Amino acid sequence: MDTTKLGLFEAISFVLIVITNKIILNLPKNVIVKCGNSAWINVIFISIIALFFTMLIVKLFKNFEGYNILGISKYLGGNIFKNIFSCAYLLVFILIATIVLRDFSETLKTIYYFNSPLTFIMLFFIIGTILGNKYGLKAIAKANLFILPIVILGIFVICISSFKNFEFTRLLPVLGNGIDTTFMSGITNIFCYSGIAYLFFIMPYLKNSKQFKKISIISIIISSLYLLLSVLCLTLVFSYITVTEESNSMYLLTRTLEFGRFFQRIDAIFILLFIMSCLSYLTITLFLILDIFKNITNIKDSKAMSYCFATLILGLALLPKNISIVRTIHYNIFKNLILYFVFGFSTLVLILANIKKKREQQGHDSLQTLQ
Amino acid sequence: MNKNFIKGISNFFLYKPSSKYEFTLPDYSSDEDSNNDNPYLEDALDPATKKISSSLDDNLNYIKAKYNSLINSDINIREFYIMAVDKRFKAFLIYIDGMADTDSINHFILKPLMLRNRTNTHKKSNICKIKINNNNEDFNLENHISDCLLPQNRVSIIEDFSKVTSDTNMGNCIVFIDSLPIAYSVDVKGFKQRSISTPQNEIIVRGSQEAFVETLRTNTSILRRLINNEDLIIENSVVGKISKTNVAICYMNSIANADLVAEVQYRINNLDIDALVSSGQLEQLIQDDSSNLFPQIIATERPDKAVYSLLDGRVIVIVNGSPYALIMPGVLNDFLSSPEDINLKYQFSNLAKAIRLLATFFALLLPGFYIAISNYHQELIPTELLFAIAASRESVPFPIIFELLFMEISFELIREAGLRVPSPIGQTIGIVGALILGDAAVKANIVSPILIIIVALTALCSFAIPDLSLNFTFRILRFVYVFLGYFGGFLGIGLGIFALLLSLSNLTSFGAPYIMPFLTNISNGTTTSYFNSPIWLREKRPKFLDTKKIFSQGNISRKWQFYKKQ
Repeated sequence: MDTTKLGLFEAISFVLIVITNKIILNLPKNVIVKCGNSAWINVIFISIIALFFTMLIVKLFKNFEGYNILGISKYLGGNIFKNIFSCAYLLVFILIATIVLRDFSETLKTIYYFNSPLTFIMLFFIIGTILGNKYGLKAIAKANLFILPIVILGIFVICISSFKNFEFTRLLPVLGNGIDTTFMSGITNIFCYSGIAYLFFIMPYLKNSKQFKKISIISIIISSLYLLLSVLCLTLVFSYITVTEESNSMYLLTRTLEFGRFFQRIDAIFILLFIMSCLSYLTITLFLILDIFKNITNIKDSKAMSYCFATLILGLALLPKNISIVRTIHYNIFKNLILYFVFGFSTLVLILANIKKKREQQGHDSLQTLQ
Repeated sequence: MNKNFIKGISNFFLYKPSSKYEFTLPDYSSDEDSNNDNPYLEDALDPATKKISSSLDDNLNYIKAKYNSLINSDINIREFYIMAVDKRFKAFLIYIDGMADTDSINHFILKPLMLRNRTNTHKKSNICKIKINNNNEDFNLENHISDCLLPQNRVSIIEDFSKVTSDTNMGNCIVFIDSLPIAYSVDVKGFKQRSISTPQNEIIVRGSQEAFVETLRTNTSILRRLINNEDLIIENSVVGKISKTNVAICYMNSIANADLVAEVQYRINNLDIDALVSSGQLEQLIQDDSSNLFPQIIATERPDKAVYSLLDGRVIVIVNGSPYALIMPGVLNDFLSSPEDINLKYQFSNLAKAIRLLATFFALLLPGFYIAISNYHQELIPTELLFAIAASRESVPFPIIFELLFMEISFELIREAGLRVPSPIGQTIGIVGALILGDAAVKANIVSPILIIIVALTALCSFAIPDLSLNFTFRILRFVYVFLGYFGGFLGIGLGIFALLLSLSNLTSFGAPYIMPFLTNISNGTTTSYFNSPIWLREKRPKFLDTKKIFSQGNISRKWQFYKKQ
């Protein structure tokens, strides 16, 4: 058993866990807030763009099999550029982990643990992520592969079971807040696919790097379907006003579920799934943080650093005074960071590295012709 | 103390390079397509059809190679000279220790052939005269030896090695004589049969009712008798500087992965201990991760289970003096399977397996879930039931955690006490403990009735787990989940499940991923999926064993279905 490489399903679930957590952490609500009733059209639109974007990334990675984005940045701009670029990514992932930890812990506190201190709730996640990183990549990937199908099935059950509450008139007006917000300014909703950032780092861990294309496309398609399903269900079940409230929209959906007279409040079961999903997501993110740190510092074994980074994430997550600040950071700063840094700058690095590679190859070919 | 505390804390955070011993078998993950051509017919374990040579040395070399006599500890080959027609002929005999009666071999094969007597010192011319006078037949040395020199009730002359190996495996003694292109198969079977006791802990309704015993050679002879193929290797090894305990390493030479066999041999041969008395000790000494609660080696008292495992490509280790054979590698699926499963129709066994899976879930998580729900997530309980629970708890002065721990520990006490006393009293203790104590505890308002149901259901479910070691694991983990549920509700339980998944994902048993087939094996047709497919579809051996032979049956195993009636 190779303990450092990921198989096809493990790699797909590695990327998919990002979108499931985004769905759990109120992402569909933000799409609906932006586009109104036409959110589902917007999701289809941005999904197509995300798919094309993924195909572009796959194409750009073709010349760099076995490398992650940091390795490619080293090829492009040398060690100094790589280190600056790595530090930027390190900060992005720390920010992701911090926001997710605080946001989800606040949600749990509001729903069930109103008497418990926030740090106490966060500690459960921190312990889980440290434990996961002690076991290493393969164990994390396998545990994630076990958890993800159950979580995906859970989301599917939530969406399908709320069918009786569907009001199809809520889809009207079809174009929601207008064509402009649906197709033009709504394009910024592509930040939903921040899972693409994980694709940039997954290549060196693949058992078969030729499967990168398959992994990327399958994971983006499944992510799109789930995002569409959740957005559509929320639009059909709740009025625009209800969805735009601060509460967790996916949790609200679970509250509507009833199976006969006996099972009327089964939302806690889904919360258990969400907790495991969040644990898995944070563990993977911490793994990537350690991986980037290892790349920067060239330390032999970065596992021991998991305590430091986990504590750092815990500390940072406790900094914002309330959940509103966290959500502002999430949907304003983080959104732009993903858009400009992951989708913009990283892609630019890939394109430039490809151009450099092509030129080098041309130079090499012409040298051979001269000889 | 202060210094020790600081040292302990600093050690916890100090970087320690991973000292994990790593042995891995090739990882056959879901996405790698294996060769699906079924070479079953071409390379099945066909016995050799080679004819016996008239050269004794050729026969001897062939037999030695066929039976791997240098490493097979129970294969006995005895070279000697026989006397016939007043001449000396070179000869050898072969038998399997434990399967043949050595007294019969000594008195009725070796003695008449080796020692000088009236029959073997007759000259050929004299015999010819006798023969001619009686039957008017020519002298024939082959018939002379079987008719006059082997005083046994069943002696047959065989001409090819397929019969040699099959008769040897059945417990016969085979005699080869120089210059004769035949061999004599003498019926001297002497293995232990039904007097062997029935299994005490792995009881099944359908299937074999014999169990291993304490004698090593009897156990190996049981395996030989059930497998009946010379491909079975039984290697001997000695463990313990003082006890010098014999340990037999058994495997199918043409099936088991050579690396796996070598790893088992390596671990057993590198034990520096004074004494080895039981297989339980050996299990702890050679398993991959001794700190992990989950069992990694299967211990069985059933020879049929051991034989299925051998034919799957696993390695069996039998310790002299222990009635349990160790099967390695063992994955989680094996510990949740019963030997009964293979004997039942797949629909029946799958129903049993589904119930067992449910029982596993309850045995591990039910008390933890109860405490989490009643402390943090009460809305999960339907209103009517919630009222009933609240009413039943009204007169109980203790918190739920106390009630639960009190009942769980009481139950563990009953179980432990029931095991340690003679069986008739044990049953009484069970009844007294479970019924009277439970009833009295409810009446005394120490615990609520609902909790009795929870603890009883958990206990019932834990009995449905087929493996004793896994049962112990769940008993310990149950308490962990109770505390996690108490401190964090579903958050604690979620963390517990996540940690358990991580631990299981990280665990290997002799290089095989422990959670096979739950996560890594997606392909069909192997015998590793949790639920059984119909028996004729179980074409492949478990992938994680990386066996030399992938297929265990043909593409169409029920050929009779496709033959037209004549």
